Amino acid sequence: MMKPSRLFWKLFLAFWLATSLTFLVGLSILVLGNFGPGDPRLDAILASEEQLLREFGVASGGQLLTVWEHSPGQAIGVYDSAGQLLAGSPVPQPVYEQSVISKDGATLSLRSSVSPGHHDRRKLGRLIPLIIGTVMSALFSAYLAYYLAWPLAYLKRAMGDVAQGRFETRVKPMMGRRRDEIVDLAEDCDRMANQLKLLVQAQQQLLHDISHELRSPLTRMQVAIGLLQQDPARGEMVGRIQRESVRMDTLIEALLTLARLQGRPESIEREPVDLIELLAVIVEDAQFEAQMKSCRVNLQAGPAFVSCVSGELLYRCFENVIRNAVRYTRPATGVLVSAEVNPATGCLTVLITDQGPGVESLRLHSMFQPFERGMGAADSGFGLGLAIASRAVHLHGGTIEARNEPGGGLTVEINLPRG
Amino acid sequence: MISVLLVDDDQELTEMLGQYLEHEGFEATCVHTGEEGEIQALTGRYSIVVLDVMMPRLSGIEVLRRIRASSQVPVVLLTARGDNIDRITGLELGADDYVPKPSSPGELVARLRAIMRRVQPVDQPTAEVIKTGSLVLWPGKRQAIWKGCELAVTSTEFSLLEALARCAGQVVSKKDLSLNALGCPLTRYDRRIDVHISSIRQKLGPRPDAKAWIQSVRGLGYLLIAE
Repeated sequence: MMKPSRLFWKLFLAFWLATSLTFLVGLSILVLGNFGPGDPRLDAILASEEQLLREFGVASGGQLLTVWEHSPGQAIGVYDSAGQLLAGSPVPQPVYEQSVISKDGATLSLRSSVSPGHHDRRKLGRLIPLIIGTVMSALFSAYLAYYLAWPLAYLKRAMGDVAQGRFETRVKPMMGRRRDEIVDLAEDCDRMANQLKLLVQAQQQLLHDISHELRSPLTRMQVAIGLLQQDPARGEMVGRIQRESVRMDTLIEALLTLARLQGRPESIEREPVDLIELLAVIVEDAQFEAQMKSCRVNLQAGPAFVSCVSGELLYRCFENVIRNAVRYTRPATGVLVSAEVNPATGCLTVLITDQGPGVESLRLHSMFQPFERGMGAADSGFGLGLAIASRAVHLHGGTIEARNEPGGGLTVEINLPRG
Repeated sequence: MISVLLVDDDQELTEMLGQYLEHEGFEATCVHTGEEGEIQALTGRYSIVVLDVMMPRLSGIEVLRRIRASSQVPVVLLTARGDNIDRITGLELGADDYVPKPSSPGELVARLRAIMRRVQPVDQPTAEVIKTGSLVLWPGKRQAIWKGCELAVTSTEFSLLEALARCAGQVVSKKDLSLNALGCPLTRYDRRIDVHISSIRQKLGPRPDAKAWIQSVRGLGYLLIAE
């Protein structure tokens, strides 16, 4: 059972107010109508009074008026021809007056402050409460409908805008100071539009970057072909063209990996993998590359950490980060890879520390975005390695972050929960 | 020998392109950052500058803006194919032409030659003067005087203005303008002429009746109003 919402209370109160007001107004008009025009009891009293005066005289008529139970607004008085009150209560502003010849022959005037009804007016009078009730109810319903419908109209328009690709549309400011689920919905709609805008922008940026990255090797190939056409003896250009085509192939491969990593965590195939062993294999491979710069890669790790992960994706992840460290560390220095299990959380924490120039603090976050390259490394890669690493870690529910070491160098910290 | 300044952050590319241009009889100098490109272009040692738009930090567009602030040296932009905004902005800022990337180096050489033909007319008598209204052109010196003052136009703009001024008061078709002033036939959806013309219009300012000095005649071409 859901907790009644604000909107529910609004609807409830509005309907309740409408129905009860209709009922109360109708009822009160009905009750008042009994004493007002068309009141049969007043008719009867006036008729009896007239008869009493005619047949028995002022004294008897006075007695009837004394015992007559009446509301404060009602008054009946008997006056003589000189305007002197003989019986009943004074009627300063009579709305009904009838002259009566009394038993003793005097001409009397019977006055009432409320007029007795006539039969035709009485019928109309019965309809009035009904009409008023209907009108009131209609007014309330109209207000309620308006109150509910107008924000929905704005929402509809905003959704239409989003569907047509106009993501700048914002519907929350239209809602004024209102607070309820419709406004929450408007907020969600705005957030969705913003999110879509960011996504589309990121996608366009990625496409732009990809085309630029593919264009650079293509342009170089075009020039190499031009040089070959100028002088067919320049055989080294063939090797160049081959290198560029390999580069393009590598780029497309990396892009496909990145695209595959955009899926949901359930979409990857998991198997039990010892991550420490995985790290050892990668470190051994990286050693070869490091030796060419007279560097070393050291692994500090505890016992096996077997987790249910995608071995292939995490292999690429660690390989990219460690090779990056080897690339940026100064010649004749070491890269340290340390892995330990956090006893509190059961997570595996892998720290990869190089002794290179580090990264400007502004780029510590953005370096995990696709095509973000390190400075002065135009030919050293496409800037996809860390993006792939970051997505692979996030798919496994882990975190990756980079920080500069106080003494120089960069540390990339990867936390992976046991899957 | 025509000396070309190549400004592109892709070192491998500029190296090969330089070799290609040298084989074609140009003298090529390569620089790899926008800042250096700006400094070199303003030395006045180069007849033409080839500028890559996509460069880190200082983009080619910004370098062009800075060059144009003090120099009318011919500039060819290397733009990404399909990137219309860069292209139009570049032409508006006074680039003489653009070559999309990737295209064959032969294409670039053809464009460079076309521009150089306009800038250094071989068999033109230097004394020739074209006068129409307040406009005086010396095609030999590529100098333009407008209402008594020197008019700062790029060489492409000068060529267009010259073509219009030779037939002042008559409509010159875009086809002829492209052939005579840009040195290449008009292609479909080619907006280069329109962009250059709009830049010249801004430099000439409005007429007393608030209309532009260069009128476009829809479907026909452009017309320089003769006084």
